[in-house]
Amino acid sequence: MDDDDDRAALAAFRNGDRGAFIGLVERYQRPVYNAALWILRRPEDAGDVTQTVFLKVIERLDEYDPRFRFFSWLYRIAVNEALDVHRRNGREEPLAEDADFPDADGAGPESRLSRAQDSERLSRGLRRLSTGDRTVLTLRHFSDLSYEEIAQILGVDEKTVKSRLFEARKRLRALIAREAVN
Amino acid sequence: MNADQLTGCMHAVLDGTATPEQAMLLASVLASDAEAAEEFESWKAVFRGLAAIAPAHPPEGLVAAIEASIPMRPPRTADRLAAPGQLLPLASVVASTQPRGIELPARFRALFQRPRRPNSTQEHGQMNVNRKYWAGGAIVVVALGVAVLVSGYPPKSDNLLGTVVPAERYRAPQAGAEAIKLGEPATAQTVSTAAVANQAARTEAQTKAEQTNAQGLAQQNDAKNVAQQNDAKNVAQQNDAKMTAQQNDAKMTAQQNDAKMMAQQNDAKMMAQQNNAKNIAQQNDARMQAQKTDARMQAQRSNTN
Repeated sequence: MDDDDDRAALAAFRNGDRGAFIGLVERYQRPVYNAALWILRRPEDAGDVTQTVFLKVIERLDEYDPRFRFFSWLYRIAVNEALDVHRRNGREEPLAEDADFPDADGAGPESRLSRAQDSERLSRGLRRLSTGDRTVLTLRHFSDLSYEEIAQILGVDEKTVKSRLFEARKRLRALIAREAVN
Repeated sequence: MNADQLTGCMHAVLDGTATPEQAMLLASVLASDAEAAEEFESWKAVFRGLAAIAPAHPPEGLVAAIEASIPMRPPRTADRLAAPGQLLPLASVVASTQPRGIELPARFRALFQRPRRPNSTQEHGQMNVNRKYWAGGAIVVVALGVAVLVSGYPPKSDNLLGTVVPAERYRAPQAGAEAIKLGEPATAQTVSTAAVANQAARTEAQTKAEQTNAQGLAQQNDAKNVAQQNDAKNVAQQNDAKMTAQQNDAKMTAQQNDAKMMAQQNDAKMMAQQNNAKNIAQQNDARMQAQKTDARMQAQRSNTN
C-alpha cells in the first residue's frame, strides 16, 4: 500500500465506503499512536489522541492536498493534537516507569544482554528528554520522515530541523552516558 | 573543522543524508584521528539503538473504537459547503430532492423546517406566511385557554355545595298476570332470537381472544428471530475481530523483520564506509610515503650532483 492507495482509499470513503477508511486506520494507527506516546509518555493519552486524530481527519478531509503524502498530513494532525494535549495538561507529567514503552528489538545473540542494557538506557534517556527534543527525534528516527516533512509538520525550516535534531541527539547521548555511570 | 562541525558530519553520515564530500572528509579524519574515531563509534551506538527500538502496540480495541465513532454517512463536500443561495453540484441537488419517509404538503412542510435567513424577496414572503401560520396557531391555543378559565371547567372542590343523598332509582310498573298471555307464537320467537344473538356475541369474543393469542405468539416468534439474528451478528463480528487481530500480528511481524533488515543494512553500510575510509587512509599514507621517497631521491640526486 503506497500513497496512491491512500488517496484511492480517501476517495472511496468520500463516496460512502467506510471500510476504506477503516483500512487507513488499521494501517496508520500504530505510527500515530507511537508518535503520540513518545510526545505524551502516557499510553492512555496516546490512545485518546489516536482516536481524536482519525476523527479530525474525517472532519478536515477537504483540507487535504493530494499533492502531498497522506501520511505526512496525518502526522501533522497527530503531532499538533499531541502537543495540544500536552499544553492542556500544563506541565510535564511524572515519568511512568512501568508504562508500556517500546524497547529495542531483539539484537544478535552475541551481544543481546549488552544491547538490551544499552537499549534500556536509551529508552530511559529518551523519556527524560524535553517534549521538543522527543518530538523531533520521534519524527526522524521512529517515523522515518524527511527533514522537509518534519519542517512542514513543525512549521519551521529545514535548517532549524537539523539544528534541533543535532542538539537533541547530543542531549540524548549525555543522558545515556549519565545513566551508564549510575 | 571544529568539534561541532565534525559531530554534524558524523550525524549526517549515520543519518544517511551526508554528501559524498562529507563522507570523504569524515573518512579521512577518522583514519588519522583516534579520538574522533572513538566518538564516531559512540554516535554509531546511539543511532543503532534508536533504529532498534520497536514501535509500541496500540491498545486492543482502538480500531473498533474509532470505527464506532465514524459517521455512518461520510461527510461530503457539497453538504458541508452548502449555503443558502449557493449553487450545488447536480448530483447533490437531485439527492436532496429525493423523498425521504413521509411526505407532507408543502405548506405544512414549511412549518417544520429549520428557520434560516431569507436570501430573496420571495423567500422573505414565504417566511411571513409561515409566521402567520404560527401566530394563528398561537392565538387558537390562547383562546382555548381563556375559554377554559372562563367556563370554570373542571369545577373546583370549593364550588361543590349541597347534601349527598342516595339516588332514587326509577321503578317501572310491574307487569301483572293479566299482561301475560300464554301460547302466543310471537313471544317464543322473540326469546329464541335473543338467545341466538347472545351465542353470536360469545363466538365473536372467542374469535377475538384467539386472534389476540395468535398475535402474541407471532410477536414472541419475531423476538426470538431477532435475538437469533443478533447472536449471529455478534459471532460474525467476533470472527472479524479475530481475523483483524491476526492480520495485524502478521503486519507487525513483517514490520519487525523489515526493521531488522534495515538495521543489518545500515550496519553493512557503515562497515563499507569504514572500509572505504581505511582504504582512503591507506592510499593517503601510501601517497605520502611515495612523496617522501620521491623527496629523498631528489635530495640524494641533488647531493650526488
